[in-house]
Amino acid sequence: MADDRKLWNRIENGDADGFDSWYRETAPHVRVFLRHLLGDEQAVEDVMQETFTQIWHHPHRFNPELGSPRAYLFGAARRQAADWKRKHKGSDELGSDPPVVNHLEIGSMVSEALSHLTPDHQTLLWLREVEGQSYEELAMILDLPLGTVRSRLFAAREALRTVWHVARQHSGGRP
Amino acid sequence: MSCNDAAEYVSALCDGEMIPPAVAQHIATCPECQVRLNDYLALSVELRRAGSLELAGAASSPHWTKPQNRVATWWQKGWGTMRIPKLAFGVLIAGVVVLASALAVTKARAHNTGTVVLLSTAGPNGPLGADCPMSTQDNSKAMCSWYGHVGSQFLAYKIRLLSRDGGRVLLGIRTLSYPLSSGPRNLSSFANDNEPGKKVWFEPGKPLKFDVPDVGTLTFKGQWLDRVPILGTLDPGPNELRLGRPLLLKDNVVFGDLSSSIGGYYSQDDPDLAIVIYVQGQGRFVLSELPIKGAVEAQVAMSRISFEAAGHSWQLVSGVPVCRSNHLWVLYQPHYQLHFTMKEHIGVGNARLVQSKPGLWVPQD
Repeated sequence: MADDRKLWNRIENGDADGFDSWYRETAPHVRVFLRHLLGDEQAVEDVMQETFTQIWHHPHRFNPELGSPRAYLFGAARRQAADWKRKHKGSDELGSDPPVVNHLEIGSMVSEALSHLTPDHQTLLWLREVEGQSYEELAMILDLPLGTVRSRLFAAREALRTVWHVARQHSGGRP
Repeated sequence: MSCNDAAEYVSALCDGEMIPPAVAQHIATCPECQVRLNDYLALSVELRRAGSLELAGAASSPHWTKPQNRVATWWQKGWGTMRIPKLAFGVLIAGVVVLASALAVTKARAHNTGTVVLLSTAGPNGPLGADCPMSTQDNSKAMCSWYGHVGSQFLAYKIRLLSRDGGRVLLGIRTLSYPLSSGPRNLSSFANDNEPGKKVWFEPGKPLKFDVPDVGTLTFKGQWLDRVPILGTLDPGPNELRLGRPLLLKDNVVFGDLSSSIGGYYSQDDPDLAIVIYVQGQGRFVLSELPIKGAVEAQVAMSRISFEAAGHSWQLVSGVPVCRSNHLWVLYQPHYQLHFTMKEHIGVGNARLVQSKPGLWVPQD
């Protein structure tokens, strides 16, 4: 937490090196997250650039009392992705078109199963399981009441489990 | 305790949460819950594995480029490959510097001979309103005024340019402030009183500090212009919100002319500052590019802002393009109590927005 504050003080003071190192650390994670939301690589790059540029230009919009810079970043990326959808597809519902993620490369049945969930469930599970975001951070990123996060996570896990079981049956039980 | 009752706690267990002892007891002895727990854990591991693979694939991310680095690289490259003698290049640069200095002096002198002071005002928490031009030659364009909230205080000020002495001007500054908690007051006497107030000399180019009891220090900055500016460019800036001689239409009928309230043209580029339209007895509208809690989305088509509120269609028609975005957020607060009485039935001000939660802002007052 103290490190986060120190980092954000540097960024707020226009320290480009500080922002650059934060970008290098977080950008790959945001890119993968956005791939799941948007699918289209060009859209992912556009939204990435817009998200980081906005934060670089207006770092004071982040309130450290409300969460970590990383959670703020994912929340900002999610909102930018919704804006992109609204402008280009006429809908701000993330994932209304199934994202194209190369599951063969990933080589995991669970990724295939994940793509069959609703966008909200995908986002929630990805941020919790892969990015390790806490309940508080998920509430911040997804604009949800804290008490709702646990029940939504349960619903998402249950949905993924159901799809996963069906997929395993079809593939003869191969994991 | 049934498995259905325990299922959500199984999920919470995977997140490292503590669960009630009775539920923990059930999960420990129930085969069905054990299967669910193992499934969740296996899925969690698989998801992290998949994530790790995807992250590995994203390792070739583009670097965050800094303008300073680009300039340094360009300069270093140019210096290294220069094909003329470096001494000649140095003389050339010195010549350019001398010429530029002469131009700067000429420009400064031209500014000193300007006839209009463009005044910007900041309070303890940031800018107050837009820059305001005051003419040294035209008395009808020699006054700036503003009213709004500064922290827990209501503040109104009137600044009149009284006279000029070379590169400085004599300003008459009148202020009125009171705690918002003391309730609304009638500002008619303040608005109609033409007494100059406290007289201070102000030299554009040098900040002037002015203390207002209970509010804090106001900082005035200024610059000389050759004429009263009319408008900015046609293209709004990145965060700019602006209005030029705006009219407010309610159900396609003119509801109010806001021109006199903003002095013809209003512009701001602080994204945390919202434009506020006050309507006597009917609350206020708060407009911003930031999503405001409880706001409706307004469509922006160049110089026209359209939205629905309180069962009516509203349009704010401006003489200039309003902003770069094609939408704004408009919060209508019909029960908002004005802390002053306006001369007109409609007026414009601004309000600072603060983030109440991620992605959502509220007016500070």
